[in-house]
Formats: sequence, C-alpha cells, structure tokens
Amino acid sequence: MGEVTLKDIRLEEYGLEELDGIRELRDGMLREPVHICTERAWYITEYMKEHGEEEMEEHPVLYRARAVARYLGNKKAVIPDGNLLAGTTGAYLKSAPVYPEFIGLTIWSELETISGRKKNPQLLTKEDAERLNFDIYPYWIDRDVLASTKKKHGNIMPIRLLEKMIFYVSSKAGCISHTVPDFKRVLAQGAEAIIREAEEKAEGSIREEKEFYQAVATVLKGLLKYAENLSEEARRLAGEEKDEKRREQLLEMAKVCRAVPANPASGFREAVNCIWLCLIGIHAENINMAISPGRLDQVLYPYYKKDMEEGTLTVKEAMELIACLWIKTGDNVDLVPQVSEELFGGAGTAPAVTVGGVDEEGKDAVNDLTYLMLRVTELLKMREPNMNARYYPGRNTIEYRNRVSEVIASTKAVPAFYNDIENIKTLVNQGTLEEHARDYAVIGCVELASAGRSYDASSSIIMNLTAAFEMALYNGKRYITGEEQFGPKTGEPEKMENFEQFLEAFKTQTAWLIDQAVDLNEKMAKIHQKMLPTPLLSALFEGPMEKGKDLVFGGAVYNSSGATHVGFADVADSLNAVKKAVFEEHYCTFGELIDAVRHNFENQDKLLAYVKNKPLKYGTAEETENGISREIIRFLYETYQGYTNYRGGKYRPAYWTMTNHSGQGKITYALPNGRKANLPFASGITPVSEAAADLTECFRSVGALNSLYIPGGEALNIKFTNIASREEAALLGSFIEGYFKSGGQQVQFNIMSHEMLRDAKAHPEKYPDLLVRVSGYSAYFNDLNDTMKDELITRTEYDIHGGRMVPDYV
Amino acid sequence: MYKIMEEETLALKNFRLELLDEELEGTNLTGELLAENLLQKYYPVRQALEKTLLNCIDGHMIGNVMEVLLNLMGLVLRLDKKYRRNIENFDAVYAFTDKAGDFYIAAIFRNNTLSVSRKKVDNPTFTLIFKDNEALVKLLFSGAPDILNAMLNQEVDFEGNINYMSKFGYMAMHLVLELTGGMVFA
Repeated sequence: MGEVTLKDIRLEEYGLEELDGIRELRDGMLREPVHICTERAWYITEYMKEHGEEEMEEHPVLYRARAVARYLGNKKAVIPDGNLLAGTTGAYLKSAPVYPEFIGLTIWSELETISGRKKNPQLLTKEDAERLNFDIYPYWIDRDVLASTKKKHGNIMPIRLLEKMIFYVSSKAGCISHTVPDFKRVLAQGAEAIIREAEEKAEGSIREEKEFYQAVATVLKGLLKYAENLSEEARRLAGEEKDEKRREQLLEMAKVCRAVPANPASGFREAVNCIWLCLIGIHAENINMAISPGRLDQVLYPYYKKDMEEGTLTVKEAMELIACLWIKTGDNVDLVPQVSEELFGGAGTAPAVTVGGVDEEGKDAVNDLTYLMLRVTELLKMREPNMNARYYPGRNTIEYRNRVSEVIASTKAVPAFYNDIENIKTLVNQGTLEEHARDYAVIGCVELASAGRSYDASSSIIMNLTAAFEMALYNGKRYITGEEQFGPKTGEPEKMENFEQFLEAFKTQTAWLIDQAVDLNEKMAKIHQKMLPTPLLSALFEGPMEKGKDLVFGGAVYNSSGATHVGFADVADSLNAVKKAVFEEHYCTFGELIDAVRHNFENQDKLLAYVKNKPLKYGTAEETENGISREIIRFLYETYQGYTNYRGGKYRPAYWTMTNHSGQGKITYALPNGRKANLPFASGITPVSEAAADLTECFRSVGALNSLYIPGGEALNIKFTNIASREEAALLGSFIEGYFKSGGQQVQFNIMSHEMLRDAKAHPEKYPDLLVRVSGYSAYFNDLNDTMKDELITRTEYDIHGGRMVPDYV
Repeated sequence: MYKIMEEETLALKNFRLELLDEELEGTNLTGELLAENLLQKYYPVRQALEKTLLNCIDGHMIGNVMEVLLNLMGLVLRLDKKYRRNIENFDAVYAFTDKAGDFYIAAIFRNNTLSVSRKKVDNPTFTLIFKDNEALVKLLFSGAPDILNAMLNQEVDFEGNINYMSKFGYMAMHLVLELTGGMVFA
C-alpha cells in the first residue's frame, strides 16, 4: 500500500533552480555529442582471441561471464561531470558503445565519415577507427549473431526476408535486451551475498548448473571490481578538488561505491547508485535496447521512507538523486549506421521507468516517491528515461490521475498512461500469477512484464503487416521487389469472387511471414544460447538463481517472445476498402483498384476520393461494429499463440512501432486505403491520420479490440492542440478514464499543434529540446528525420474541449 | 572532370597487376628502397586510376568503375604497407555482377594480396548484384557506402555475409576519402 504524506503532490516549491547543479547536468548531457566507445569491444574481443571458440563451445555461460568480467574489471573509471552518481556506460559522458557480437560491424564502411554525418553524427577518433578496422572487426566478420546464423543455416528464406528489410526485423541479430531486471534482491542482500549463494550452489550442482553459478559469481566480481575502481577514482579526484562541496560529494561517492552493489543498500543514495551500477553491468553484457529499470517508485520506496523517517534525507536531496539517475540513463545511445539514421533516426535506448498503479496485493501503490519522480520528469523534460504511469481506475486517486495529466501537459509528451485493469487481466490470461501481474512494469516502449520475473524479449519480431497485405495483392510478391516470389501463391485477386477469398489470402501470407520470422527467431536464439548467455542479467532476475539456469535458457519465472506490428491501421483500412469498393459496392474491379495502387492513384482522383471517404475506417464506431480490425487482432493473436519459443514461452503480439512506421512507409508503395506511396503508416495501434474525427469514438474503437489479444502491449498516439490549465489537464484525465473503461491498454500524448510542429521543423533552433512521443518512446523532435517529423505533424489533432478533430488546413 | 595526362594514359594502358607482381618477384630491392622505387615508377598509373575513379564518382565516366577501383585497390595494396594491413590473413573472394549478367568481375583476396579476374569463380564468399553502374557508384561512394540503403532502394542485392561488403566498402571509401580529404574524425 502506497503512502502519500506530501502536502503538495505537485512539489511546486522545487524548481530546477532549487535542485543543486541539476540544470547544469541536464544541459551538459543534452549538449554533449555522442562518442563511439570501443573500450568494451576491445576487451571482449581480446578475451575471445585469447580463449576463442573452444571455451565458448565447452563452457558457453562461463566464457561469457569471464569476457564481461574482464571488461568490467578493466573498464576505465570515469567521473566526467558533477553527477552525484558514479559510473558511466562507456568511457565518455555520452557514449555509443560498440557491440561487435551484434550489429557493431554495420558502421564499418562509415568509420571515416560517421563523425561528420550531417544528422546525429557519432564521433569516432582516428585511433578508435583503426582499432575497429584492424583489430576488432576482422575477428567478428564471421562471428556476429547474423553471420553465425547464416554460417550454420545457409541463406535460408527467413534470413533472406530479414536481409531484404521490408518484411520483418528480427531483433535477435541486434540484441538480447528488452526486459525489466529485478533490483530488489541486490538492494536487499548485496552482490557479495549473491556471489556467496552462487558459489555455495555451484558446489553441489551438476555441470550446467554449476557453470551457471560459477558464471554468476565471476561476472558479479567483475562488477564489484568496477565499483572499487570508481571508488578509488572518486577518492583521487577528491584529493585534487578545490571546491569543498564537490570534494565532499566525491568522498561520499567513494564511500557509496565501496558499499554498493557489494553490500545491501543502507539508504536511498546507495540504493539509487546501486541500481545505476547494476545497469552499467547489464550494459556491459548486452546492448542497451530497452533495458528498463522498472517500478522505481516501488523498488526505492523503502529506502526513501527509512531515510526520511530517520531524518537523513530531505525531499530536495531525494529529487536531486532521482534527477541524477534520470540524466544518467541517457548516457548511452546505440550505434547508428547511416541507413538506420535515415529510416529510424532519433531513437534513444528507451529505458522505461514505471510509476504508480497498484501493488502485488492490488492496493493503491502511489507513494511520495511517485510524485517526486513525476516532478523530476516534469522539470527535466528529457528523452530518458522513458516514463510511464500506471493507473488503476477506482483504486488510484483522481488526484494522482490528474497530476500525471498535468505532467503530460507540462512536458508535452510524457509520461504515457497504462490501464492497470486491462494490463493485469491480459498478463493473467498469459499465465502470470495475479500478484505477479499486478507488479507489472513497462519494457522499452509499451510492452508489459511482471517486473524482474518475466523475460519477454519483447522486440523479437517487428512484423511489417503491409508486406503481407501486398503479398496478398500480388500473389506472394511485393511491388518493390518485382517478380521475385516470396510468399505462397494465394491467387490473382482479380479472379477472386468474394472478399473472404482475399481475406484468406491475406491471412495465409501473414501466417507464412510469421512462420518465417518465428523460425529465424528460434534459430538465432540457439546462437544466443551458444554465444551470448547473460549471467549478469540472470543474477538480477527472479528464477535463474533458483533454477540454476541462465535467462537465455529459460531461467526466468515467466518466458515469452514479443512480436510487434507495423501498419496495422493501414492494413485494416485497406482491407475495408477492398471489401467496400470491389465486393460490396462494385465501385471498381479488383484489377482497377490494383492498377490505381500500382500507379500511386495518378489520374485516379475519383477513386482516391472514394477509397479515402467511403469505406469503413478503423477508429470509428461503425468500423468497430462491422469492420475488419477486430478480426485481424484476433487472427494475429491466435497465430502467434500457436508457437512456443525456445524458453517454453508463448509468442505475444503487440502494436507499437517506434519509428518503423515511418521508415517502412518510406519504402512502401501505395495502398488501397488511399495512402500514397512512400508516406508513413499510422503509428502503433493508432488509427490512420484524420480517419477518426471524434476522440471518444476513437478511444472506444481501440478499446474494443480486446486487450486479451494484445498481450505484448499497444501504443496509441493522441495529439491535442494545447492543454493550458489544470482544469484542462483534468479534462485529459477524464478522457483517459473513459478510454480505460472502454478497454484501452495504453495511451500517450503529444500536446502540440500542426502549426507549432511545422514551425519546429522550419526553425529547429527555436525548439532545441522539444520532446515528442513517437510510438512507444520519446524523442527530441530535431533528431528525427523529415519523414518522421511529417508523420508527427499530420497526426490527427484533437481539441481538449469535446475531443473533436482540429482540421489541418495545409 | 579530372584531366588525365598523356603519360598517365599510356602508363595505365600498359598496366596489369600481374606485371607488377612479376616485377616484385624479380627485384633485388627490398624495404624502403623498393617502396620508393615502386612509388615513383607507378606514380603515373596511380594518378590515372585515381583521376578515373574520381571522374566515375562525379558521373563523368561510369563504364568501368569496378575495374578501375579494383586496379587502384590492387596497386595501393602492393605499394602501401599500412593499407595492406586491411588484408592481412584475409581470404575472401568477391564477385560483382549486374542484374542482366552482362558484367562480371571477381576480386580475390588471398595470400595478403588482391588479384582480379574476369572469369567466373566458384563459390565466392560474397556476391554483389547491382542494378547498373550508377547504383554501384552510389553504393560505394555516396559518402557512407551503405549496402542497406541501396538494398532498400532495390539498387543492389547480395549473396553472402554482409559484413564482407562492409569491409570492402571501408577499403574502397578509404581510397576515395584520401583523395578528396573527406575523412572526418573526432
């Protein structure tokens, strides 16, 4: 049960100016360029060269632990700014670490130009470029995840489809990540206790389990060595420091790093730094793609409460520490090659923090720390961490709901809102114990996980649904790839006699693509098991220590794999358009419709107007009643749930798109719903822009999709022109209440008008840190590519008073 | 457009990587003396190849860009010790062909050297299939030689491990960036 003792839940007396040094830290991090860091790649590669494949073959978990421990033990202790927390992900204030096991080699051809890239350059020194080219990359050329999969299985269809990049993305080529660790154990017991437990358990275990426990002990010792090195560095810097206040901070930092994560955290400061050090350890093992800190207002609350009661912490000090952690979570970004920059640029690492909701007993979990975290989020207005607020209608207070709404209005983008009722129900339906489901946290964008217990690999597949639709339209081929046959031959649509035949063709193509993507995910998972066990992450999870099994072998309490979908709304509307235009009203033949699509509706103004206006549109009440959207959701759910993954869990469909709806849209031809070639798709589970003129109807339509069929989570993007007062924020709260009652799982907002965004695009200098919500995560508007900016500009905009669409006259 | 001098044209006309190899085998010179000697002797050829390559990139001459590139790469690999580090212990065969099958050339990296063949090779490590020469130039020299981008535009396709293309892209781009001064580092 949460406790709220604050007199003012808005914490208005604490502005940025009141928090010592936080504005400088924030601005420093925002202005800091990204430096490509080769340190980790160097140590991991060095270890691999010395001990090589043999050790990997013989002792997969142990070899990984030793390699990561070597890196952590040698990792440079850097204290680059005035942050109260020690430790950096890379060797710089803001780093893009190279992970050659995954996608580190994708920048090979750009080593001598990436520093000068116009958009979001990533800085690389000449020495590091040469180190990568001559010493690191050659070792991995045949050994990264994709190369290893290809070497083992050949150029099989699932890999061909992946490499075409227009069908699906298989995230296993790029990461393990996408999960929420459990910090409770390390905070309560300390890493040394976990090491002791691992060593004791290793004594009497069979070989695999023994090696797992040895690996846990080995890798945690590496993390402790890093903490020790940080402590020494802090002490050294303190000795040189002239400023008394900073000297004291450094000495305190030295003390903290000596204490945690080795020992149980004795208070709030140690707990916060412990979490950050553990995150650095996790980043040392795997790329940070949505490694999500989870329910920090719950995890940290006992330490906060204790310190407050003992009088050793003030609200201001707690806020400063939270701010330091928030800023630290943005100290690393992923390595981004040119093509990713062009198609998907602007993404952060999406470390999701979740606040609010109910506790494991189902009681209101909102506490003072929830409000402190909301206030810090409001003040900082930063991309990281990706903030999410859970809300249980009827159990959480209206004051809390409206306070979250105010923070959204203030930041214009964050946090996102999550419906506890639907999300808990959904997880329970997936076999999660109710008390564990109540303790869910958000992974990365919008995915749901029982925090620290469920290993969900929630971004395993990013499926382009429009690819399957096009393949139904072109008998197993895609327009962009010409005559190359990919999917099964489901027939020429021109010869189909009814809509059901076409729908069946679409389902066949979709099921075929899913099968390919799942097959590849399973194959890559075997490579992960061989190359990339995760003993450090496993030590910070419920399950592995009990089972003696690494996460990638199914050690977690719960297991699943996630598959998200790009182009859902466009496909639903296109199917509705085919049904109406060809089979119901016979406005045109299927051949004529395909011809118009092929020619991007050129000289087909009448048909374009028809398909844009006449057919049912997802997001409207009529479509909910008579359209295709709910059937697609159910079909995808049933198809995915038919698969069991390599860890014994089910595949869970989801609907969030990051910037993939923009990137994939950019390379996809026209569709029968009237979307012209190369334009972005609608994001996440959001209806196509301007399809849903009434927000209440839109909410009901999304809510009606049935959350049980969306166990992976959904991202609904809604844009309001403006929310200028507390009263209007309360109106936002009322909209959310209604949406959640209709069954919606998640909603996120941008509070900005078409005009403002156009101005921001034309005059980026006027909006240096404008935060926007993309599809699941947040980004800085100026970091996005033009296609993504345009997608944000043209999203349906609503008026907070009445929820009617505000026309875009441009 | 870069003007290729008469002596450079002549030198290029008579140039074959195999002839250079024979010369290397037959010489008594070693070390820096050999390097200096060769650098001087092959300067006109290198000039001709570099200018031709830059002309190809600028869109003035498209026809034989891959042949020019491979010859330049082969020459520099033989003359420049540091550049040669790129292929130390690197065994790989690249095949470059157009979609129509009218063009074929293979780059064979073996025994720390590069040889070029017009004959089809069995089981190449990596095959790049490009729509046309323009697509190839765009792929290799657009500033960030990015096969992924070219694939998205359906300008190229490939068979094999894409990391090999990234490595080749780096080696090709390095030559051009040295000529244009386009390298940027932190």
